[in-house]
Amino acid sequence: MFGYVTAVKNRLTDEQWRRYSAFYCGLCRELGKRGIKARATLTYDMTMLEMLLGGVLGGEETAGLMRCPAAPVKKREFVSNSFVSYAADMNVLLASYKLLDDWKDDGNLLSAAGFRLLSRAAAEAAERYPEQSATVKRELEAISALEAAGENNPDIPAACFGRLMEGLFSVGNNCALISFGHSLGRLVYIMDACVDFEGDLRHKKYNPMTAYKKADFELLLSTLAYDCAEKYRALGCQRDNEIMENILYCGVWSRYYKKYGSESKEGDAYGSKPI
Amino acid sequence: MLMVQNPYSVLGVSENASDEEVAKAYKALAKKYHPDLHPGDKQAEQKMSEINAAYDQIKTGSWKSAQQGGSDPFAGGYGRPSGQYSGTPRYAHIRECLRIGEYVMALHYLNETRDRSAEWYYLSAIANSGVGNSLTAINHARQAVEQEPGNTEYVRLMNILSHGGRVYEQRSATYGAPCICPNSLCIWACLAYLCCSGLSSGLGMCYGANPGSGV
Repeated sequence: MFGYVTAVKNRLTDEQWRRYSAFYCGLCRELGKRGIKARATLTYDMTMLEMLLGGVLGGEETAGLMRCPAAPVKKREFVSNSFVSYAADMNVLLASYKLLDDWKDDGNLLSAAGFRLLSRAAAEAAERYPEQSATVKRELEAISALEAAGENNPDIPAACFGRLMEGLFSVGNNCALISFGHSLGRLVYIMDACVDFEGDLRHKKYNPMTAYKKADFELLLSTLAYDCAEKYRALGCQRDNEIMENILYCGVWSRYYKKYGSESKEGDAYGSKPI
Repeated sequence: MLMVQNPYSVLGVSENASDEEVAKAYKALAKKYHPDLHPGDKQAEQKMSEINAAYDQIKTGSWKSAQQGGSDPFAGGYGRPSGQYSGTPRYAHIRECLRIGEYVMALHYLNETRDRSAEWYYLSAIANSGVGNSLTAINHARQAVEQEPGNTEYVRLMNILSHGGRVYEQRSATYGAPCICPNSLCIWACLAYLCCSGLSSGLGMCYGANPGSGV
């Protein structure tokens, strides 16, 4: 379920985008220490995790220049805070378990190969953070079981994913962070289900939102996103507030509107009803 | 609407069907009747409602437990139609749970009964909201309002539950996310309407989101 917790570039200032990108590079650099395969699992989702933990729990930042393997000509700026190693471990852990899940569900051997290659980095991450590892494994297994059983109450698997995210945010004994994590988890799970909805329905595949209509999605997703935004406010994040709000009010919808947004473009542009 | 139909018949499976067979039947029926595949078809919508309710009854086991000799100790007395909500004695214990914040217990009591009256949905909406099940809460509040449109308490609950979503939509409009207009039109159209009559040629970028495609 990677790819939802991301910022929208053209709604950030140049400076904000540079800083966000620099954190992304910094996470890549850290992942690189865990191997080439680990580096390939880089996500914006875990970049946000790192930035938010720094913003709430404080700590130093380091900055510098690095060589990017993907664009080796010019050196890139990077920024990292004291949670970069943690974020890299979580990134690898999630990627490994997701690959394992895909393999079990779809019999996808390519995923299996990826998992095996990642397993040393993942095993080390699991050793460093056994609670998070156990939580991720437990909740992904619970979700698999619910999906296999055809659970049509989406709140139930969403709660599992909420607990999974709680685990990721269980740093520094901060209840507000855990609460935010739970809320974000529920939002991401349901957002993903909504994006996959049409395809799943047509192919008679399981989708947790089967008991709902597409017309209801935006209200439901806005309700979940509202809870998330309120929990974010309660964190008192000291850094990068604009980037975080961009993600929570804008970025999380990217894939949803990429999928369904084109329909709204065909609507009547003038003489439309006011908000 | 009380569920008097046998949910197994609704799904077209035998009462001894395995969970897997039930889920398979549900998916096949959803593909056949889901309103999003039949826009504007009221019968499909009605049918889908019955299918969802039947699946829900089988999953929670409320049909079978009632068949096995009335584990519905609170039977007798139904919700009053319309007017100010006062509730029935039948659900006094559930309302008490909700009052003191014992939402899990309330849900347990709610799932023990086969009743699916407006009052049931109303109480279930509150309990689900309390444990963070926002989707179920809104869904059930809506069902309560649909069954008893005149009931101001149910309407009020629906408004409370929808409030957050509306606040969010207003806030996100300032970030450039598309406003959620009744016709789901793009934000530029809405801004154009609000600011000046027929001014904006903002048809161009509806939602030009370009989520960090690499650095």
